[in-house]
Amino acid sequence: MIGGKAKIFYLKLSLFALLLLLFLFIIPLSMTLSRALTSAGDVFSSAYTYRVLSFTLFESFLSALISVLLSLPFAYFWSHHKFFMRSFVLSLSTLSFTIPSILVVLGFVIFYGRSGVLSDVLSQLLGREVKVKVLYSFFAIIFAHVYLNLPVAFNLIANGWEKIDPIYEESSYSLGRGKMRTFISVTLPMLKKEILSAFILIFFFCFTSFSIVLVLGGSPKFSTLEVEIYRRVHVSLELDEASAFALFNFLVTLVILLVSGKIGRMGREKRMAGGMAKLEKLEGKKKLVAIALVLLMLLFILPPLLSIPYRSLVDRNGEFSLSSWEKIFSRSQMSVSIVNSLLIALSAALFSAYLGETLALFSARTGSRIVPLFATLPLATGSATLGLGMNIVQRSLMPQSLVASYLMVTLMHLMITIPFSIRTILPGAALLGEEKTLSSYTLGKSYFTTFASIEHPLLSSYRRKAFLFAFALSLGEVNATMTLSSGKVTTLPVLLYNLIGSYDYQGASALGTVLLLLAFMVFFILGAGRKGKADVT
Amino acid sequence: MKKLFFALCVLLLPLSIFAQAESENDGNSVTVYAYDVFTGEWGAGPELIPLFEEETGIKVNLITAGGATEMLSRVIAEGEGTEADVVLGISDDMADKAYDADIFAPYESKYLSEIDDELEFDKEHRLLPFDWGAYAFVFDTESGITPPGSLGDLTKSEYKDNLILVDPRTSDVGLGLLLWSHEVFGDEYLSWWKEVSKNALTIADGWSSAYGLFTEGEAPIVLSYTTSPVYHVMNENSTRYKALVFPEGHHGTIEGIGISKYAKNRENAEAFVDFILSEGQATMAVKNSMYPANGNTELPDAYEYAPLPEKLLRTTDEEMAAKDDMLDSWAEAMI
Amino acid sequence: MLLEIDGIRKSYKDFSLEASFSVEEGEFISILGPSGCGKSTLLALIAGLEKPDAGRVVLDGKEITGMEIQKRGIGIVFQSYALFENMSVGKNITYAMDKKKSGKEKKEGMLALLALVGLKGYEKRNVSSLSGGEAQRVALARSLAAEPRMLLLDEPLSALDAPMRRRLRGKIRDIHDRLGITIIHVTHDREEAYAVSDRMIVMNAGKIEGIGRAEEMYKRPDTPFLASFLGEGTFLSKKSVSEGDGYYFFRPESVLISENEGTDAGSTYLVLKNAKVMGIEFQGSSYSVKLNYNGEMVTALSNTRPRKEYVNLMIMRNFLNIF
Repeated sequence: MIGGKAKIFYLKLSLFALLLLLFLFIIPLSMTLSRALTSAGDVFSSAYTYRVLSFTLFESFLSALISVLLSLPFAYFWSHHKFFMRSFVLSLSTLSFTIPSILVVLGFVIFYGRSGVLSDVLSQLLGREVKVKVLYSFFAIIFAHVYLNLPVAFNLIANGWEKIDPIYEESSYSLGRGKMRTFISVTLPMLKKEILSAFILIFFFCFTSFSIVLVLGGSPKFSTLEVEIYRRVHVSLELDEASAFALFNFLVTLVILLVSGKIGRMGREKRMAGGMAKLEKLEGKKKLVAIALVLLMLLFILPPLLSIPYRSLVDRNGEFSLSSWEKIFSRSQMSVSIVNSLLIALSAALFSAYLGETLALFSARTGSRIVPLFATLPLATGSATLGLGMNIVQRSLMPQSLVASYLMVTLMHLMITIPFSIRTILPGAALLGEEKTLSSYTLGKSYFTTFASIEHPLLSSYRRKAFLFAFALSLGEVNATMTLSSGKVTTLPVLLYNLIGSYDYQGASALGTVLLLLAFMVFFILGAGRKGKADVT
Repeated sequence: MKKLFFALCVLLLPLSIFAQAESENDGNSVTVYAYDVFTGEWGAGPELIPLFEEETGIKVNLITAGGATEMLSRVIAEGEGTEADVVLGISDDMADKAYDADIFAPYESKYLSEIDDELEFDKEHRLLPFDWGAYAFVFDTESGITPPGSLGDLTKSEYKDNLILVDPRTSDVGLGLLLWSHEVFGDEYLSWWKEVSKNALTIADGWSSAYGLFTEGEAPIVLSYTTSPVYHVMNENSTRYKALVFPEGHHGTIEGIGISKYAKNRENAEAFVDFILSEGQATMAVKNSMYPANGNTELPDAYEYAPLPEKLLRTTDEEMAAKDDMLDSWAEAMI
Repeated sequence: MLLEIDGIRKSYKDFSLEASFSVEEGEFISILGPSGCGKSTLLALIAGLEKPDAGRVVLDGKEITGMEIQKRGIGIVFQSYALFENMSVGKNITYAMDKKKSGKEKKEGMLALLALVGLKGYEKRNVSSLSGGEAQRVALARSLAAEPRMLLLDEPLSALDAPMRRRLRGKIRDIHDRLGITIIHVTHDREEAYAVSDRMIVMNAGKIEGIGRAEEMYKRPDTPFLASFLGEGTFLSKKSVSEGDGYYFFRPESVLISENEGTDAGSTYLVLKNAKVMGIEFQGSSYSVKLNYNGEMVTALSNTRPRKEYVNLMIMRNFLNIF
């Protein structure tokens, strides 16, 4: 598509990001994996390993599949219609990323639990005791995973769908093809990139999940590979074996990524950059559909989220009390950790969005599929393995200092969020490349001018979305922060875990509420900031 | 580009601010590695450290690397190069790894005389006990069910879905129950687990989520410590939650503090250990929700609600050696 | 000679392209062909969007085959317009101008270009508010703003409706005549090619089928493909008339319908006796008549409606093509 010089330009543009990823990922990983060989034999030959693996694959596959399928009708409606709360709901759905997993579990329990809010409400309504039996089952694992990840699919796919020229669908209708036929044979192939991206992100998110799997699954029968790695790093301190598991995990991941890369290559989609779906104003019956869908989405997103502020204000005896709020705000650490959380999340997300952009452009322009795959590896490798490796790096390469701690935490967050950024921006970068970039070249503009004046501004909506994902993820991150900061960097989630450690779940809920409010504020500011600008691509 | 520059500034700003706070303190100081329970905002650290610094004039450089296991693996990995003078929070259940790596130097503190011999899990005194606890099932008295009287009772069908356990693969508390069951049932421990897991509403990944589920009222019995009711008495003025004492005994866990073999400030380290074993005892116990190791410690009244087990079961050396294999067998049997 | 394409070759998995031709300064050339014939690829090779496997592209006597897109000085207007949504109409145009120009020069130039394409007063407009025709003209103005040596138009009108297409193709020819700029224009619409171009290049399956002036090629197609692709007509096997292999080809308007019996026109005409009228289609100014001659279908264009069932057909030998 473009010449060697252009490729070199994009390589230079993304060089910083590439080297950073290499440093952040390859070095710690190789340090971890170099210890793996001593016990690799046992791990690789145990039937138990494969039993756990098959469940992990099954659970991740199902979670990703259902998330993607469920998101389709919403993504369709959101990408084709204009209505009140449209972008608000899109952003709101990302909020669930902000909460550390223990609070997600708690939010689920408070709302869907046997003595949760839903049970109470139903009991009152029906006049007899009802105990909702949703949790502690395989269904609950999938439910919680879909809950956490539907927003990823929803946002990515709606974003892509907006950019499909309706001309293709219309011409299919004019050929007498029904809606379903058109969707399957025309629309779906054009959405392939977004769907695959969402699928991969969700798959690996669930691949390394274990708190949700263990607590909400209700039985050790449901265990993921991450449980085994975590066990050896955090409980039994068998680092060689942990590394062997990490190696095993890594190889499985690699195979899956390569396979998904192959699927991504089959039949390249063609899509015009010219037209895009016109956002239709709603009238009559469609207005009702919109209201129903918005309500449905809110009903899905909000209950577990709102359970957290609810618990922070109402104690278990049903009495209203502000004491937990007074308690957390009486601490001097509180303001420091708010500042820390915001600073780390903002800088990690900004870098993640910008570096993700350069990597997405590099991948789109050179047709390299390796970069997004490579960048997904940190997500897929799991925080237990990475934390272990990073710790080794930190100790051997960095002096023990506060600056180093901040840097390591921010870098680690950057690495965790960058797969989301690349995959959010990639479809946009690919779309731009078709003709706008080339147009600029034919006008005699240099690669850099084209990047700075055309590509970069036109990718702003993608970048914003990437920023939001990254911000939410980083704000709620706790494992890496605790392991890498030597206790010198206190963020809100760290504080939250401290509180839970000292039995104070109500205080933890208040902290969780603060996290949600912070994320909400940032989303709101960004949302307000975009009104003035023309929407792009 | 401008924005990128801005981003760079945002990243570097906190660094530059805190970089100044990073002053040289190689004068009169001691570096303490501690688990997050101690260093957290609501832990004993923030209360005891200033007190110690004021009394002795020794500056404490406090470092945490997450939980006890992460901390231990870090000290081991650092070896000779470690900055740690003191390491706080190694329990007897994981002490073998520390002995194997030979990273602690013995210290005969004068306060050892005030500590019950039974608690001195390391006779060579490389690790000195500072507090201890016993795993127990905590019971919600408002649930209206009959409390179980023994580990065996928990397998009764009346407790179906009334029980929250903790996974031994991902939590020290869960591991504690695994050892406890082995001490009580011997080689039959796995069949007990198979039975009891049928009654478990869930087997949580850690104590935090298990106890959270319990206080949300999901189930009336949870695996925790005998000392757990103290928090509810002291902070919520509630005696609703009771720790159940079983006649067959309870598995105990003892937490220790040790001085690094490579300590650069040995004298200061000794002062710090002494402080934790004497003056620091009450705060340590309350904040950690444990019993103090030093018998002369005065405790708040709320400790009346932390029943002492009639019999304390301790990890034997054979058990310690077989721990990892037990975990494997557990996983094989349960999954 | 401004542009020379010399033995250029490009192969893909299931398609390959080969072309040689040249373009004179100031010419308006249309590349015409069915979709998938490689005409857009040819354009991409000229503009440098694709690299050829072999052959040379020479502009102004200088080889530019491997040169970067930016340095070629060849403008291109895409079918999808490819306007930059982050800029206003005016900005889109000034963006393309030489950096060295002053702000005032740029503004004046931009206003003049907008006037040239008939969009006076549009400079502040948001590009997403433009209609298809307007967007196409902005794209054209933007390409011109870069002052290219020549301009490539890739199916510029195909996304527009028929009346707008007709209006705009006149506009494009008009701009070409006023500026004297060389244009290569790709289309699959032969009417459009006839209307605007000086010369046409007809392509099929990756090869050039013919190059020439539109009328010439219409009337005297060199190959059966050109004959059928450039307009309606009848292929009549020689066997059905006399002896021999091969076909006669003629356009409907070359056929005279005679209702007199015993027509004999000597050597000027080829006469087909007793053709049966199968169907008559009224087309306004004329009638399209389908006839059966010895079992073969013949199409004729007639100013009057034939009344008899059997007629004689006379085809001037001058307009008869033999394949």
